Amino acid sequence: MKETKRTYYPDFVYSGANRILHWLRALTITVLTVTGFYIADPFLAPTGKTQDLVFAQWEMWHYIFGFILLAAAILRLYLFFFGKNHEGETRSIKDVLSLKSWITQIKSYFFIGELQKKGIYGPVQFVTYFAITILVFLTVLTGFILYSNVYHQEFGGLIYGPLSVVTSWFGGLAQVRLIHHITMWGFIIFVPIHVYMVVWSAIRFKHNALDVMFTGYDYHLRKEEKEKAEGSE
Amino acid sequence: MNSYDALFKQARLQLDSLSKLSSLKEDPLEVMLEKNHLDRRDFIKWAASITAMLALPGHFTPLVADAVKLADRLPLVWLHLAECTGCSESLIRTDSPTIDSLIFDYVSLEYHETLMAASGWQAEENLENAIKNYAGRYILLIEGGVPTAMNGQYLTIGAQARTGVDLLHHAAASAAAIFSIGTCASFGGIQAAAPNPTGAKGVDKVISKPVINVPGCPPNAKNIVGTLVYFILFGTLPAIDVYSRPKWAYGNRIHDNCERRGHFDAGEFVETFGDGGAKEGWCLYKQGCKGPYTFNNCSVERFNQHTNWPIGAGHGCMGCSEPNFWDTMGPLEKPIDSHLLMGLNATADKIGTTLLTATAIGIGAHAVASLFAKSNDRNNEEEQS
Repeated sequence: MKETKRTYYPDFVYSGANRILHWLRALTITVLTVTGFYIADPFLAPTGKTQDLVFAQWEMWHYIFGFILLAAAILRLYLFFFGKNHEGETRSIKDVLSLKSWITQIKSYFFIGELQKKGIYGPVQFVTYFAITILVFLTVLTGFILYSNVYHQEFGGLIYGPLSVVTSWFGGLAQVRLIHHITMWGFIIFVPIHVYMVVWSAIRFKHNALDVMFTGYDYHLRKEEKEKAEGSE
Repeated sequence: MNSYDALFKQARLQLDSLSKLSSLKEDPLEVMLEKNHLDRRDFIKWAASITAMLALPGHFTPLVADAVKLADRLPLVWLHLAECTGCSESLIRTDSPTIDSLIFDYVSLEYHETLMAASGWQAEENLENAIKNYAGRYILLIEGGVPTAMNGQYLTIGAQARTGVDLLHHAAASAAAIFSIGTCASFGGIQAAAPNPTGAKGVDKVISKPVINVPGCPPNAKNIVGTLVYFILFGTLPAIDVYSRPKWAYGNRIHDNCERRGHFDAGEFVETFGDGGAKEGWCLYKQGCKGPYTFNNCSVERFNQHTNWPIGAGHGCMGCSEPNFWDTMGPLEKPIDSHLLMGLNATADKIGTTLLTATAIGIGAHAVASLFAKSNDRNNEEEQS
């Protein structure tokens, strides 16, 4: 007699460093958005004391978190290619190059069939994360241009010359500022979609949701068919 | 050896060679100053201020004074293309003849449509004579953008109806140096703003010779004279930024040296024109000041004999010395996040909010659909069977 048993098997998907970097990005993007909106159109009333440099301080934190975001992004990119268990991620590139995988994933989003993928990301997911990575670097580039116009010394002074050429490609500082502002909207729109898709696919396809980013383990159901031994009961 | 010694020597040699040329004016500068009740002390003070403005050390002051005295050796041709003459006005409209405007009288201005006595055929002859007689020697100053659409037919000048493009090419061919005076000549200006029906362009986009841009609407008289003095002094073009603007004038942002900068850093902003903050002289950033995006020296040099400047008068900078400022800086009295995106007639924030709302609706619809969707997961199928 055959017995089918379904067990949740753990898959280790994200290393400690990857998980920390993920939440670091979440934190920096949140802080950068709030401070960014303040810098675009200051919404706080002055304290009435001239020694409280409200704007300058918000701007300072904006730059500090911007640098943290860049560091986190560079480290994450390194881990993607050279991390200890990056195979699960790099395997997803095969899915991106396969039209069938794209159709499978898009169909699964519209409740047709199951999500089958070679790596830990589906093609739609992979391309979205890739676009967000590009967006991070575009934001950092435009942010550096704005930074170098405020901090003329040291690192700011070093990048000022080359970046003034990049400024002219964008069509002046005002355009750089506008593009920087538009990139922020990319993150604001990405976050709710990202959170929803994580929760939804966990419910739909019965695997781990937000927990993955804390524990590093995802759980997948696997069927097991056992030949029941006679008289074992 | 001081690092400025080489520069000093270069200027000395240049001035010596200039002094060998014959003057194009009857009176030397000293006589002219005296006629206008300006003494030598005023002149040296002015020379010292120009020296400082050009970021040269103090011992260059006598050289600058000499250079200005020799300014009558260099003929100037001033072309008016698609423009409003505001740049010329900036230079010549003063409460009393200042040294800046006197220098302008003193240089040998061979052709300037607004200022010259000649008109009609005679004026055209003057231009032709200047270009022929001083070929390779004259400085060409251009005011106004160059309409290029329809073979330049949007701008024709004089009895022969020569197009602006044609005149520019003709005059630029044998010029010693070319200066674009004002935003129109530098970047096209208001007539180059979208949709730019006349195909107006900056001078450096039309001719293929090095051009120094002195943008501004109008540029400061000091920046025009300074660029001229620099050329007379060294015989070369000044250090320029990526937009060919002299670094000594356009190296810093308006914001960097603004008198209201302290209020900016403290987060003290004028909320509406005429409110308490405005009376206190707070920062005009929320009233659309474009100082943080604009490179110019207005905050230091000011206008009208250093009397005042836009931000001093309570209105934000509108970024007039930046390329395409009509298209990139608007609305002029609102922060830059109110900028309307090209062709969409909405701000980035408005479009972002709309997309975010659409995202939320999409997520909601998908979530609701999930509740009713038939489960066809492998694992679920087995549960149901």
